[in-house]
Amino acid sequence: MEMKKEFDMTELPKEPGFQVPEHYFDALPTRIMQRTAYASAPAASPVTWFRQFRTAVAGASLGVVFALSFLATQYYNTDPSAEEVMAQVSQKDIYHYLTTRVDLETSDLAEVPAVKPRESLEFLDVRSSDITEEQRKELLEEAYEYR
Amino acid sequence: MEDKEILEKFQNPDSRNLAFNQLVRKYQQKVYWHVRKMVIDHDDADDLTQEVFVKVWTNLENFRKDSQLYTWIYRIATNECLNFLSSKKKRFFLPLHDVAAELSEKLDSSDSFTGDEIQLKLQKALLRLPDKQRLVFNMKYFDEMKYEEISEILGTSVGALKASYHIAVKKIEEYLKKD
Repeated sequence: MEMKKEFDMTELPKEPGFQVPEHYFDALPTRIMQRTAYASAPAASPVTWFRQFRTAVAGASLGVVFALSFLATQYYNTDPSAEEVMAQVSQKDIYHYLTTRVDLETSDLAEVPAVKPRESLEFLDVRSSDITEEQRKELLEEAYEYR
Repeated sequence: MEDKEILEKFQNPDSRNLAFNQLVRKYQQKVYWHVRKMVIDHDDADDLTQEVFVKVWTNLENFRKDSQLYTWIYRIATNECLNFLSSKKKRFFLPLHDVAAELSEKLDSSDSFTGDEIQLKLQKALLRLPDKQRLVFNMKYFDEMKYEEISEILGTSVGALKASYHIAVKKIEEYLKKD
Protein backbone atom coordinates (compact mmCIF):
# COMPACT_ATOMS: atom_id res chain seq x y z
CA MET A 1 0.00 0.00 0.00
CA GLU A 2 1.37 3.38 -1.03
CA MET A 3 1.96 5.90 1.82
CA LYS A 4 0.63 9.42 1.28
CA LYS A 5 3.53 11.87 1.24
CA GLU A 6 3.64 14.35 4.15
CA PHE A 7 3.04 17.92 3.17
CA ASP A 8 6.16 20.12 3.40
CA MET A 9 6.03 23.88 2.81
CA THR A 10 9.73 23.98 1.96
CA GLU A 11 9.07 21.78 -1.08
CA LEU A 12 6.58 24.23 -2.53
CA PRO A 13 7.83 26.38 -5.40
CA LYS A 14 8.75 29.99 -4.71
CA GLU A 15 7.66 31.02 -8.20
CA PRO A 16 3.93 31.61 -8.65
CA GLY A 17 3.99 30.27 -12.23
CA PHE A 18 2.65 33.28 -14.12
CA GLN A 19 4.01 34.58 -17.40
CA VAL A 20 3.82 37.95 -19.13
CA PRO A 21 3.72 38.66 -22.88
CA GLU A 22 7.09 38.98 -24.59
CA HIS A 23 8.80 42.37 -24.09
CA TYR A 24 6.00 43.43 -21.77
CA PHE A 25 8.33 45.14 -19.27
CA ASP A 26 10.26 46.84 -22.09
CA ALA A 27 7.12 48.60 -23.32
CA LEU A 28 5.37 49.24 -19.99
CA PRO A 29 7.41 52.32 -18.94
CA THR A 30 6.59 54.11 -22.20
CA ARG A 31 2.88 53.37 -21.82
CA ILE A 32 2.95 54.66 -18.25
CA MET A 33 4.91 57.78 -19.22
CA GLN A 34 2.34 58.54 -21.93
CA ARG A 35 -0.39 58.49 -19.31
CA THR A 36 1.57 60.59 -16.81
CA ALA A 37 4.66 62.69 -17.52
CA TYR A 38 4.08 63.07 -21.28
CA ALA A 39 0.35 63.72 -20.86
CA SER A 40 0.33 66.65 -18.47
CA ALA A 41 2.05 68.23 -15.52
CA PRO A 42 1.15 66.78 -12.11
CA ALA A 43 -1.74 68.45 -10.40
CA ALA A 44 -0.52 71.18 -8.11
CA SER A 45 -1.10 70.47 -4.45
CA PRO A 46 -2.99 72.98 -2.31
CA VAL A 47 0.29 73.97 -0.66
CA THR A 48 1.99 74.53 -4.02
CA TRP A 49 -1.06 76.40 -5.29
CA PHE A 50 -1.02 78.67 -2.24
CA ARG A 51 2.69 79.41 -2.70
CA GLN A 52 2.18 80.28 -6.37
CA PHE A 53 -0.83 82.45 -5.49
CA ARG A 54 1.13 84.24 -2.75
CA THR A 55 4.01 85.00 -5.15
CA ALA A 56 1.59 86.23 -7.80
CA VAL A 57 -0.18 88.53 -5.31
CA ALA A 58 3.15 89.95 -4.11
CA GLY A 59 4.22 90.66 -7.70
CA ALA A 60 0.88 92.23 -8.58
CA SER A 61 0.99 94.43 -5.45
CA LEU A 62 4.40 95.77 -6.39
CA GLY A 63 3.10 96.56 -9.87
CA VAL A 64 0.09 98.42 -8.46
CA VAL A 65 2.34 100.45 -6.13
CA PHE A 66 4.58 101.49 -9.02
CA ALA A 67 1.60 102.35 -11.22
CA LEU A 68 0.00 104.49 -8.49
CA SER A 69 3.30 106.27 -7.82
CA PHE A 70 3.66 107.10 -11.52
CA LEU A 71 0.09 108.40 -11.82
CA ALA A 72 0.47 110.46 -8.65
CA THR A 73 3.56 112.22 -10.03
CA GLN A 74 1.72 112.88 -13.30
CA TYR A 75 -1.43 114.36 -11.80
CA TYR A 76 -0.12 116.09 -8.69
CA ASN A 77 3.11 117.68 -10.00
CA THR A 78 2.40 121.48 -9.78
CA ASP A 79 5.85 122.66 -10.96
CA PRO A 80 5.42 124.60 -14.27
CA SER A 81 7.39 123.50 -17.30
CA ALA A 82 10.34 125.49 -18.73
CA GLU A 83 8.19 126.69 -21.65
CA GLU A 84 5.52 127.97 -19.26
CA VAL A 85 8.11 129.90 -17.23
CA MET A 86 9.69 131.43 -20.32
CA ALA A 87 6.26 132.52 -21.61
CA GLN A 88 5.87 134.66 -18.52
CA VAL A 89 9.16 136.54 -19.16
CA SER A 90 8.86 139.61 -21.35
CA GLN A 91 10.98 140.11 -24.45
CA LYS A 92 12.47 143.19 -22.81
CA ASP A 93 13.69 141.23 -19.81
CA ILE A 94 15.18 138.56 -22.06
CA TYR A 95 16.92 141.24 -24.09
CA HIS A 96 18.24 142.86 -20.93
CA TYR A 97 19.49 139.54 -19.60
CA LEU A 98 21.21 138.64 -22.82
CA THR A 99 22.94 142.02 -23.13
CA THR A 100 24.19 142.13 -19.58
CA ARG A 101 24.81 138.54 -18.48
CA VAL A 102 25.58 136.46 -21.51
CA ASP A 103 28.57 136.56 -23.85
CA LEU A 104 27.28 136.18 -27.35
CA GLU A 105 29.03 135.86 -30.68
CA THR A 106 27.78 137.61 -33.78
CA SER A 107 26.83 134.28 -35.20
CA ASP A 108 24.39 133.84 -32.35
CA LEU A 109 22.59 136.96 -33.36
CA ALA A 110 21.94 135.61 -36.80
CA GLU A 111 19.75 132.99 -35.16
CA VAL A 112 17.56 135.66 -33.59
CA PRO A 113 15.32 137.18 -36.27
CA ALA A 114 13.24 139.07 -33.73
CA VAL A 115 16.14 141.46 -33.06
CA LYS A 116 15.62 144.87 -34.66
CA PRO A 117 18.36 146.15 -37.01
CA ARG A 118 19.02 149.32 -35.04
CA GLU A 119 19.62 147.25 -31.95
CA SER A 120 22.15 145.01 -33.68
CA LEU A 121 25.07 147.17 -32.75
CA GLU A 122 24.22 146.76 -29.15
CA PHE A 123 24.28 142.94 -29.58
CA LEU A 124 27.71 143.24 -31.28
CA ASP A 125 29.00 144.64 -28.04
CA VAL A 126 31.13 147.14 -29.98
CA ARG A 127 32.31 150.13 -28.08
CA SER A 128 31.35 153.51 -29.62
CA SER A 129 34.94 154.80 -29.20
CA ASP A 130 36.14 151.98 -31.44
CA ILE A 131 33.57 152.90 -34.06
CA THR A 132 34.60 156.54 -33.91
CA GLU A 133 38.23 155.57 -34.30
CA GLU A 134 37.41 153.35 -37.26
CA GLN A 135 35.45 156.15 -38.96
CA ARG A 136 38.31 158.60 -38.36
CA LYS A 137 40.75 156.21 -40.07
CA GLU A 138 38.43 155.85 -43.05
CA LEU A 139 38.17 159.62 -43.42
CA LEU A 140 41.95 159.98 -43.28
CA GLU A 141 42.44 157.32 -45.93
CA GLU A 142 39.89 158.96 -48.21
CA ALA A 143 41.60 162.36 -47.79
CA TYR A 144 45.00 160.86 -48.64
CA GLU A 145 43.63 159.20 -51.80
CA TYR A 146 42.20 162.49 -53.09
CA ARG A 147 45.53 164.24 -52.88
CA MET B 1 19.44 55.35 -9.28
CA GLU B 2 18.79 55.50 -5.53
CA ASP B 3 15.34 56.48 -4.25
CA LYS B 4 16.77 59.63 -2.67
CA GLU B 5 18.23 60.76 -5.99
CA ILE B 6 14.97 59.95 -7.80
CA LEU B 7 13.02 62.09 -5.34
CA GLU B 8 15.49 64.99 -5.60
CA LYS B 9 15.39 64.92 -9.39
CA PHE B 10 11.59 64.70 -9.35
CA GLN B 11 11.41 67.98 -7.43
CA ASN B 12 13.27 69.72 -10.27
CA PRO B 13 10.91 70.39 -13.22
CA ASP B 14 13.80 69.96 -15.68
CA SER B 15 14.59 66.42 -14.52
CA ARG B 16 11.10 65.36 -13.37
CA ASN B 17 10.26 63.15 -16.34
CA LEU B 18 13.66 61.48 -16.25
CA ALA B 19 13.30 60.76 -12.54
CA PHE B 20 9.81 59.32 -12.95
CA ASN B 21 10.96 57.15 -15.83
CA GLN B 22 13.71 55.77 -13.60
CA LEU B 23 11.19 55.15 -10.83
CA VAL B 24 8.88 53.23 -13.17
CA ARG B 25 11.74 51.11 -14.50
CA LYS B 26 12.92 50.37 -10.97
CA TYR B 27 9.55 49.35 -9.51
CA GLN B 28 7.43 48.17 -12.44
CA GLN B 29 8.13 44.47 -11.95
CA LYS B 30 7.66 44.51 -8.18
CA VAL B 31 4.34 46.33 -8.55
CA TYR B 32 3.16 44.17 -11.43
CA TRP B 33 3.90 40.86 -9.72
CA HIS B 34 2.43 42.05 -6.44
CA VAL B 35 -0.78 42.94 -8.30
CA ARG B 36 -0.76 39.92 -10.59
CA LYS B 37 -0.62 37.44 -7.70
CA MET B 38 -3.75 39.07 -6.30
CA VAL B 39 -5.88 39.54 -9.44
CA ILE B 40 -4.49 36.54 -11.42
CA ASP B 41 -5.47 37.90 -14.85
CA HIS B 42 -2.71 39.65 -16.84
CA ASP B 43 -4.96 42.31 -18.39
CA ASP B 44 -6.35 43.27 -14.98
CA ALA B 45 -2.83 43.34 -13.56
CA ASP B 46 -1.67 45.51 -16.46
CA ASP B 47 -4.50 48.03 -15.92
CA LEU B 48 -3.94 48.15 -12.18
CA THR B 49 -0.16 48.53 -12.50
CA GLN B 50 -0.68 51.55 -14.72
CA GLU B 51 -3.20 52.98 -12.27
CA VAL B 52 -0.70 52.55 -9.45
CA PHE B 53 1.94 54.57 -11.31
CA VAL B 54 -0.58 57.23 -12.30
CA LYS B 55 -1.33 57.66 -8.59
CA VAL B 56 2.39 57.69 -7.79
CA TRP B 57 2.93 60.43 -10.41
CA THR B 58 0.04 62.50 -9.08
CA ASN B 59 1.03 62.24 -5.43
CA LEU B 60 4.82 61.92 -5.47
CA GLU B 61 5.26 65.67 -5.03
CA ASN B 62 3.53 65.38 -1.65
CA PHE B 63 5.31 62.16 -0.64
CA ARG B 64 6.48 62.48 2.93
CA LYS B 65 9.87 60.98 3.49
CA ASP B 66 8.85 59.51 6.85
CA SER B 67 8.40 56.18 5.02
CA GLN B 68 10.48 54.52 2.33
CA LEU B 69 9.52 55.08 -1.28
CA TYR B 70 9.06 51.37 -2.10
CA THR B 71 6.87 50.94 1.01
CA TRP B 72 4.68 53.82 -0.13
CA ILE B 73 4.39 52.41 -3.66
CA TYR B 74 3.55 48.93 -2.30
CA ARG B 75 0.83 50.49 -0.16
CA ILE B 76 -0.73 52.17 -3.19
CA ALA B 77 -0.54 48.91 -5.14
CA THR B 78 -2.10 46.96 -2.27
CA ASN B 79 -4.99 49.39 -1.97
CA GLU B 80 -5.60 49.23 -5.72
CA CYS B 81 -5.77 45.42 -5.54
CA LEU B 82 -8.12 45.32 -2.57
CA ASN B 83 -10.39 47.97 -4.11
CA PHE B 84 -10.45 46.10 -7.41
CA LEU B 85 -11.42 42.79 -5.79
CA SER B 86 -13.97 44.48 -3.56
CA SER B 87 -15.61 46.27 -6.49
CA LYS B 88 -15.65 43.02 -8.45
CA LYS B 89 -17.67 41.37 -5.70
CA LYS B 90 -20.03 44.33 -5.38
CA ARG B 91 -20.52 44.74 -9.11
CA PHE B 92 -21.72 41.19 -9.64
CA PHE B 93 -23.13 40.60 -6.12
CA LEU B 94 -20.71 37.72 -5.80
CA PRO B 95 -19.78 36.08 -2.51
CA LEU B 96 -16.07 35.55 -1.80
CA HIS B 97 -16.26 31.93 -2.89
CA ASP B 98 -17.60 32.76 -6.35
CA VAL B 99 -14.87 35.32 -6.98
CA ALA B 100 -12.34 32.62 -5.99
CA ALA B 101 -14.03 30.21 -8.38
CA GLU B 102 -13.93 32.77 -11.19
CA LEU B 103 -10.23 33.45 -10.62
CA SER B 104 -9.58 29.72 -10.35
CA GLU B 105 -11.16 29.20 -13.78
CA LYS B 106 -8.90 31.89 -15.16
CA LEU B 107 -5.92 29.95 -13.85
CA ASP B 108 -7.07 26.87 -15.74
CA SER B 109 -7.83 28.65 -18.97
CA SER B 110 -5.11 31.27 -19.07
CA ASP B 111 -2.23 30.88 -21.50
CA SER B 112 -0.13 33.10 -19.31
CA PHE B 113 -0.14 30.64 -16.41
CA THR B 114 2.64 28.21 -17.20
CA GLY B 115 3.25 26.75 -13.76
CA ASP B 116 3.35 23.04 -13.04
CA GLU B 117 0.72 21.03 -11.19
CA ILE B 118 1.90 21.91 -7.71
CA GLN B 119 2.08 25.62 -8.58
CA LEU B 120 -1.48 25.47 -9.89
CA LYS B 121 -2.64 23.73 -6.73
CA LEU B 122 -0.94 26.29 -4.56
CA GLN B 123 -2.57 29.17 -6.44
CA LYS B 124 -5.99 27.55 -6.15
CA ALA B 125 -5.43 27.01 -2.44
CA LEU B 126 -4.48 30.68 -2.08
CA LEU B 127 -7.66 31.78 -3.81
CA ARG B 128 -9.67 30.18 -1.00
CA LEU B 129 -8.11 32.55 1.53
CA PRO B 130 -9.57 35.96 2.43
CA ASP B 131 -7.96 38.71 0.34
CA LYS B 132 -5.92 40.22 3.19
CA GLN B 133 -4.67 36.80 4.34
CA ARG B 134 -3.68 35.98 0.76
CA LEU B 135 -1.88 39.31 0.58
CA VAL B 136 0.13 38.54 3.73
CA PHE B 137 1.02 35.06 2.44
CA ASN B 138 2.16 36.42 -0.94
CA MET B 139 4.34 39.12 0.59
CA LYS B 140 5.91 36.73 3.13
CA TYR B 141 6.23 33.60 1.05
CA PHE B 142 6.85 34.75 -2.55
CA ASP B 143 8.33 38.21 -1.98
CA GLU B 144 10.21 37.12 1.19
CA MET B 145 9.52 40.41 2.90
CA LYS B 146 10.14 40.93 6.59
CA TYR B 147 7.16 41.19 8.91
CA GLU B 148 8.26 44.72 9.82
CA GLU B 149 8.11 45.79 6.17
CA ILE B 150 4.70 44.16 5.65
CA SER B 151 3.54 45.85 8.85
CA GLU B 152 4.54 49.26 7.50
CA ILE B 153 2.74 48.64 4.21
CA LEU B 154 -0.47 47.18 5.58
CA GLY B 155 -0.59 49.13 8.83
CA THR B 156 -1.05 45.89 10.78
CA SER B 157 0.96 44.83 13.83
CA VAL B 158 3.74 42.28 13.42
CA GLY B 159 1.97 39.94 15.84
CA ALA B 160 -1.23 40.02 13.83
CA LEU B 161 0.72 39.41 10.61
CA LYS B 162 2.47 36.36 12.10
CA ALA B 163 -0.87 34.97 13.19
CA SER B 164 -2.38 35.67 9.77
CA TYR B 165 0.50 33.94 7.97
CA HIS B 166 0.34 30.92 10.32
CA ILE B 167 -3.39 30.50 9.69
CA ALA B 168 -2.85 30.86 5.93
CA VAL B 169 -0.17 28.15 5.92
CA LYS B 170 -2.41 25.79 7.91
CA LYS B 171 -5.29 26.30 5.47
CA ILE B 172 -3.03 25.70 2.47
CA GLU B 173 -1.64 22.54 4.07
CA GLU B 174 -5.13 21.22 4.66
CA TYR B 175 -6.22 22.03 1.11
CA LEU B 176 -3.18 20.37 -0.46
CA LYS B 177 -3.42 17.28 1.80
CA LYS B 178 -7.10 16.89 0.95
CA ASP B 179 -6.37 16.94 -2.75
